[in-house]
Amino acid sequence: MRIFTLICSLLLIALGAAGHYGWGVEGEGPRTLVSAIPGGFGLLMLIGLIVSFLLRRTGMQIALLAALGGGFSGLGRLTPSYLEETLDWQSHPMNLIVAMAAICLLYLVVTLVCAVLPKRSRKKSQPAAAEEEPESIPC
Amino acid sequence: MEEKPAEPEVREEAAVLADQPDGAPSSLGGSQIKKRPLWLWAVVVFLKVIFLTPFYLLIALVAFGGGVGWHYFEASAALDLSEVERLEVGALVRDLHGREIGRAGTMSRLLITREDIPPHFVDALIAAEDQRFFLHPGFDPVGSVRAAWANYRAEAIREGASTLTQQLARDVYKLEGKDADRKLSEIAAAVRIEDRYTKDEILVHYLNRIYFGSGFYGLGSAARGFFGKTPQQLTIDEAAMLCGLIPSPSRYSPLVSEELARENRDQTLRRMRQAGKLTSTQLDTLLATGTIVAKSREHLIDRGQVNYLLARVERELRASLETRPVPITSLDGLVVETSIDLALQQRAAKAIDRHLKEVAKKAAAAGAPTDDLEAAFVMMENRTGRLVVSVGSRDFYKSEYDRAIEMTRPPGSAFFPFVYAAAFETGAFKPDSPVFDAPFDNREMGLGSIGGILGEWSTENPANRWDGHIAASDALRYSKNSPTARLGLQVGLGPVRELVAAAGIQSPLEDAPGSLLGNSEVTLTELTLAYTVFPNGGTHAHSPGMIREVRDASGKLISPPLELKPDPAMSGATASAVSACLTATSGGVTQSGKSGTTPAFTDAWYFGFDDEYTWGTWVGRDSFTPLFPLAFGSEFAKPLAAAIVAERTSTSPAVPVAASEKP
Repeated sequence: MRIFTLICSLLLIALGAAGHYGWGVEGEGPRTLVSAIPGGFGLLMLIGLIVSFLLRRTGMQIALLAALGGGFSGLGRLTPSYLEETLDWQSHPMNLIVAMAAICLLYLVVTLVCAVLPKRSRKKSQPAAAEEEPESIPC
Repeated sequence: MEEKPAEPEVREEAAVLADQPDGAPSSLGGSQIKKRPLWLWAVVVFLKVIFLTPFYLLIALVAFGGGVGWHYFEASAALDLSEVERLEVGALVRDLHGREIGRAGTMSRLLITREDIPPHFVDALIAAEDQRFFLHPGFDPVGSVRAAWANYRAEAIREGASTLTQQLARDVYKLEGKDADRKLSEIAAAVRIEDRYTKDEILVHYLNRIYFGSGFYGLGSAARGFFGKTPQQLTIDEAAMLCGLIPSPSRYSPLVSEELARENRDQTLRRMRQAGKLTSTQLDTLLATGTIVAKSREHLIDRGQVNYLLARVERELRASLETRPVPITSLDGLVVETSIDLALQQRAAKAIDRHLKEVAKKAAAAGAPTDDLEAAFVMMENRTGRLVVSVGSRDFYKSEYDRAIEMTRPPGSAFFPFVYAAAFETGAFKPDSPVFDAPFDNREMGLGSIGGILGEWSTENPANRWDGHIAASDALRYSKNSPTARLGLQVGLGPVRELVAAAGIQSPLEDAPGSLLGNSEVTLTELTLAYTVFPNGGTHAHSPGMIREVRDASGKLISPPLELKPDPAMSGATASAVSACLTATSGGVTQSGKSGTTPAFTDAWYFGFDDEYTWGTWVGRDSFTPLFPLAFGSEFAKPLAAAIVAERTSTSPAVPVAASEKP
């Protein structure tokens, strides 16, 4: 799960960098801190990951909240454009927002699936792993 | 730590989103899990559901809202923030003599600077409109919640949640409407404005732009117009009155309603007291003091007509420019030549005011109310339909409602010429054809009147005389209801409807016999246009308008040529026949025209024409109640029209031919 968190956070940071330095520079959108929002969520997720090494549950909760924020803010960003029928799938900003929302929502889903899986079945399928790494969360 | 399978009765509960202290041993692990009773597990799950689920939902909701805000904030990046300080110079508007009327699109603002705004005015404005102006970043969530709570408690919209910056954004970027999209765009624009300008700059731009009612845009012109002062000379109560007007300037203007203006002034003063800007003693003194508004009737009428004309020209101009292949949105630098005779327009407005004072005396003598009497007058050129005079109300400062073009009323007997024209067009009737004048039950026509117990009889004339068989020309000349009703029923509503539509009346004619007697509502301007068919030999003038030609800053003509000449509504012979019926010579003076009266005496009309111009007059009440019994158009509208037409001196030039019409 930590590796998955690391991958997602790095992807989001890369998206934020692309948003801030990429589409801003290309003139496709304003080069403001707003365009680096995906990076903000990625950074928060990364912080959660680091914290999880010290405070496991708190760290993963931070990462989860970051994903929740990123996913739903992405949906919120896209919804008015969808309603106004101004979604432009060709533009980089739009693609990056979609990517941010997709990564965050995927992370959210994976986390929730892992959380609600019956522990017993996990134990049965991976008894050795559970014994070796009892502090790690499932998945 | 070794984790063991949970006991069947103690099901594991999704430990990832857990409730345990960080670093503490898991309660799921080891022997503890075995010891946890079922009821404790149920309590833990219950608490998670109760507290964690709403928490996560709240985070999701806030994130979603933030995302929506993100969309609008990004969209607002396209706004040109320099527009905040850019006030349109507007289009120069001239009358038919070449005399400057003013500038359309600027509303004759008197611009002010920060130094011109006295501190107590700022206090009043902040107290009335935006108490946290100096604290918020453009939008004010605290103020919004407070306003929502106040409105909820009052069960009415008492307080608005828009900050001064939001109001400025709305005005600058023309963000109309009340939907969420407009509101969010407004907030995003306000945040950007706050980012670009200081609070003082925002204050100045706001006060230079907003409308204070009665045609006054900006603090400078409002202070001058309402109090004859500069902003620096305003007293506290005057400042409070001006700030109290802002939510609904057209209603709260002291020139419209002194009572409402004072109520809002007092409310602003109380808010200033709540904000600590006034002592209790000051408040009591100010509440007990009246605020005197500088009024000069002559001055108000003059200025009122100028503002009215400029507003009307601007509306017409923008509509015309928007339909161009490449629409022009800014009026800056345009020069507009109109067909309006400004001097005659102002004399007409004064004549209306004088006339209504006389009508008020007669209404008072008849025991009728005198407070809501109104009148309107329109004069247009027969050839082109261009308006020479168009007065929409007695006093533009009191009422901006344009009764010349916006108000629809039943024309009553002023509609008769079109019934006779339709009859003559059939060929079955001629001016000398006999028609029958005898009592006629109005209920057959679906009309209500004031004669008879059931309102079944129209009052034909004060003597209520019936003439039996008379010529159609006389029936029309003397405005006889019963012969017209009988003739109309014979001809049928269909041919009449077709004829008036071809004559330029766009208001729908009701599918009822009463329409034959002028029961269907029309506007003054469209009926005046329809009357141009008589001097024009059967064809009405082009669509009425004030603009003759428009040139851009380089002098290039950009106004479109007149539309094609409309199709004739009737034959030249019919037009001549009806004109002859409407023409009479008295004392060596030949006049052509027709008065109109509705059966219940709610509206008095007169339409006249000569070779060059056609004019229409309406006198009535906004309340749709009778002027008073026996208030005929021939006595209450015709003299007004005559007075205004008499003001048109023989030296008044004809409307010049527009450049677009020259070969």
